[in-house]
Amino acid sequence: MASFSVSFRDLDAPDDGAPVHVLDLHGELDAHTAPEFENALQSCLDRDRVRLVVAGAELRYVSSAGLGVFMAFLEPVRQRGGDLKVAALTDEVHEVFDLLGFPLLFDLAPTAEEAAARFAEGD
Amino acid sequence: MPRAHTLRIPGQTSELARVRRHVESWAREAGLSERAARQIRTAVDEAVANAIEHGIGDRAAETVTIQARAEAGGLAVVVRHRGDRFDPTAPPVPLADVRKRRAVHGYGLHLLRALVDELGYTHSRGTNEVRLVKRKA
Repeated sequence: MASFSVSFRDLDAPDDGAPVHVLDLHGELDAHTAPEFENALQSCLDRDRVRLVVAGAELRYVSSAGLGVFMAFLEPVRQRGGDLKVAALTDEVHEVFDLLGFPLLFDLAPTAEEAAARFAEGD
Repeated sequence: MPRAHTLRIPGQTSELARVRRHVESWAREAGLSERAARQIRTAVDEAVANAIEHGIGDRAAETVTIQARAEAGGLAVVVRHRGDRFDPTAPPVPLADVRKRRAVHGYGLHLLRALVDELGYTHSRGTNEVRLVKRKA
């Protein structure tokens, strides 16, 4: 069975100081583990946390089921004045994002800190 | 003699990780590069996930069989399950439209098609058979 987990941490955006919530993904995100990621994002929305960075430095695999979860939350988060930025993807996971044109829709940053800073810039 | 492998799994998504491990191993054995091995692994994952999801009616497929054969030019994988007709070679909804609708589903077939060199499909006597080929170069 694929191992997958999400851990949470907060970062201060450098300029406005409002916290940015980082979800660090670990393991393999596939059709079996996608509901866990969905629950993690939903728990953020439920607590009105809409300045979100999903960080993938420890994410070893993503399938279309996992990408569908990213997509499901993009507009709900933006409609509430936030964004779902994506950071620190490995080359392997980035390749899948790229194949499906997700960089056209998501703000991709090299690090979670860089992604958080972009909130302060008004992105 | 070309090496052949068979893996039969219950139709449960919890089996997908095991499928991926096997396909990676078979791909390396067949002499594929690390990148090509990752690509055929992901494509097979998508094909098996589809097979599980699109079983018979609302029921998941009971079992899915994955067969692989190392060929001179690469690795050929067949994914077989009994179920309703589900043809991954049929033209999918254009990717730009799927993205525009912010759809949650509809990416898997695009991914599958982008990652393999050959994709074939047959449906005979209630059995779906998807054939994927990844070449070495």
